[in-house]
Amino acid sequence: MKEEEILKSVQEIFRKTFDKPDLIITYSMSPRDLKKWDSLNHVILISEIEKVFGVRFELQDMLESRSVGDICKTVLRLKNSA
Amino acid sequence: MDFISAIESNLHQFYEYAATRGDLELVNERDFSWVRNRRSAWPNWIFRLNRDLLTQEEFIKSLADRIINKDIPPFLVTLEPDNTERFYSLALKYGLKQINRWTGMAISRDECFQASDNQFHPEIIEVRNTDNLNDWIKVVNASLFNSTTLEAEIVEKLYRGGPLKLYLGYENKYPVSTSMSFEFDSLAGLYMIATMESHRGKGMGTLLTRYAIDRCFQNKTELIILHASAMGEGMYRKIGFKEYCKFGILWMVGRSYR
Repeated sequence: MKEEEILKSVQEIFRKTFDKPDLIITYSMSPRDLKKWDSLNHVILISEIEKVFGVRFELQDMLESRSVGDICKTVLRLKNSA
Repeated sequence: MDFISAIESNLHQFYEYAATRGDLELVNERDFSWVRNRRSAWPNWIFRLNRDLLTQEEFIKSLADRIINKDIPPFLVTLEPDNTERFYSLALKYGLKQINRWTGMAISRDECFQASDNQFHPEIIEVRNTDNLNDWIKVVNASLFNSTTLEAEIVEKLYRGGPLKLYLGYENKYPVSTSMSFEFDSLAGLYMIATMESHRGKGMGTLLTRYAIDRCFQNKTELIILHASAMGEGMYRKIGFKEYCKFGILWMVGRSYR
């Protein structure tokens, strides 16, 4: 799976989770850029990503994934190691 | 009392105090207790769980069922059982996801060699009025909760004249860092140690922690405990805190405290 494909799917998950159908995400986007991206919505977001990609974030992965780029890299690593 | 019991009991007493003083729901059941605040995200915890039951599927399932039925809050904090793997995998099976892990740490009066009783920090104050309190809440909400989830009303009820002391650090007149101590007998717990993201890495967290430690040891406190996030753990070790145990924080994902 390529990084661009992951970004596209992650964008759909962001749109659904934060109820923003037109949201465009970038690799550098972090909770600072999205008001609703708090610690609990972060968990909801990761849970959705786990379901869609069929991967499991360890606690450390979840806590360290603090930007869209971090999330995509973790998904890529988990997919490649599956 | 051993250190692990001290680290655990202060947390439980803190939640009980918050519930009692804050007029919140507090229920002590046989195998756990819970506190609920329907107006705000804090405190809403299932706590004081019987650790022997944490690896029993029937118990975890019954907890999850009750959360789904909204009988009890969706957040759980517990000292980890010996078989952590089984606990977390059982919890996940029933929808309870581990969202954080705290390290239980402690420092005794004898170990705290560098505490300086009379050190003066012009940039740190003890919260004593509503303006200070609002600044304190603003910092905690922005840096720990990411949104406005700690309500002023409950904090105001808790800190006035009680065993809680709130400390606030300023930089260039802006409130940037907080700490809180909860003293119970000769044991004190430190909570809500937070620094605004824009001001991290400048030693403010260390200063606020040391300030609270100094104030506690000036009183009758003999042992200070805290529950460190991964981000703060290194700083507490540098101050002299030692690790004694781990706590798991779980949430039934998506379930509201309301």
